Amino acid sequence: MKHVLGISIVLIMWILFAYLFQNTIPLPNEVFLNFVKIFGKQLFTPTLQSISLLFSGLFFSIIIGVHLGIYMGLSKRGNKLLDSVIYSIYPIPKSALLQVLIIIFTSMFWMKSTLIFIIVVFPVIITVKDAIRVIPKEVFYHAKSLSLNKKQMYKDLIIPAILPNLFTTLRISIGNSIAVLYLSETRGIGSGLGYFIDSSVVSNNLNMFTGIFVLSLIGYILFILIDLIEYKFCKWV
Amino acid sequence: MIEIKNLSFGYKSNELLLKNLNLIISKEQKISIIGRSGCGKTTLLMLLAGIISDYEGRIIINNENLTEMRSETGVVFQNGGLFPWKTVYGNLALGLKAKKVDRIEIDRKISRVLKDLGIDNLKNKYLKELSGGQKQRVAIARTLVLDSDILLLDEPSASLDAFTKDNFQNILLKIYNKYQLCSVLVTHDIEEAVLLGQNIVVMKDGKLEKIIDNEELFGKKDIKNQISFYERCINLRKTLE
Repeated sequence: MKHVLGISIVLIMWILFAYLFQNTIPLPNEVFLNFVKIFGKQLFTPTLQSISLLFSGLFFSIIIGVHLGIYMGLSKRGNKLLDSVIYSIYPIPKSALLQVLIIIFTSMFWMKSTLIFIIVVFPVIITVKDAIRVIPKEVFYHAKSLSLNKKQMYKDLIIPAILPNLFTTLRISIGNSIAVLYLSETRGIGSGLGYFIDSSVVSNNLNMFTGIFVLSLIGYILFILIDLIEYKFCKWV
Repeated sequence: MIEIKNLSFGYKSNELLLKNLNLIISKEQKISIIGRSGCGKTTLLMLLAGIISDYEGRIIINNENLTEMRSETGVVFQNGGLFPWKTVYGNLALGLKAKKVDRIEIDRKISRVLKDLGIDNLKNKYLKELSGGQKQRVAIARTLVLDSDILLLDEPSASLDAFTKDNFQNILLKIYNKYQLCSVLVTHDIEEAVLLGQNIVVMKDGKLEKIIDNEELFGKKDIKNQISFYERCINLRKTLE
């Protein structure tokens, strides 16, 4: 129900803006029809390219970010060692890093994927580290008294403790990732939805909006997915 | 049985918080430790739990030197120390699963203990759905399912309101009577110390100031003893002043 209401609000706003800027913004139904018409021919490959990029960036940032965050959260030495590294790299504007990555990487896919990785990994590390640090010490005492092995410690204590915050960070990061995805796809040898949108700006306004619609749809589906996973694994929140 | 021999401990090497403590707590004995804030009573409990292990002297539990935490020593902390991401059942089953107890036995033990504590209706609830008193009962249940021989309680009713506290203390008395436990309760509440301790250990400046025998009062509820109870509270208060 909340989704229907939310989508209705977006559609109403879209229609209002479409009437206000009649020659610039197409109506939702025009975009939907165009989406059905061109998806198989022109949009499928760029969508696939963008999704692969997004998923590879998110996948590596979650895997590496969670591990580093846990290491920093559990080990004072690890925290001391990596804290300053993270705090010094994290504030660098990511658009500035894009130029560096273009020079370093010969593969455009990995260049773009690395950029998404860099954007997502730092918030993940910081979130996981902080989530571990606020686990009450009494919980660790109990786990210790039960002589839980490493696998049980992760399964029964660490992972459940970090999950809610991790999902929140992922939600925020998805928005940032899609923004950077667009930016990166318009650089170098263009590909994906970013390039599709960019190349349609002058030639085909309707295609441009259809591309934006698909980007928004990808983000929306990812948010729904995170909601579902959170509902399944964080019933205690 | 717990034997404390020449126990000294300080968080800083040059400043001892506990100074040369000697105490024997026999099997199934229930003691209350009372004293002003900062006198070292919670630290003593942490040492008995094996949470802190770099102490001087000896702590012997059932004829074995205490060097690390034991699964048979149950600790109930002020905030429960439960896993909020697990249901009541999940919290209780965790230790049994770690001990590789089979599923049927886990279910049987959990059902029995929850029934004893009057919370069998909360089995599938998460902690966010429980009141403070219920959480503390779950924390006790968690130690009972593991067949603990020692129960350490660190101000378990400190955050409870008067009515819930009363109820919680009655449950504890019931548990004391039913389960063969050696119990150490740390509290700053004089009435609670008198009500729940066969012996009351008064701590002052890191030393055991006094050990008061309270046994004949334990568990009795008639009017005569109620009067005696308050007399004892008054006497204990005077001792602390």
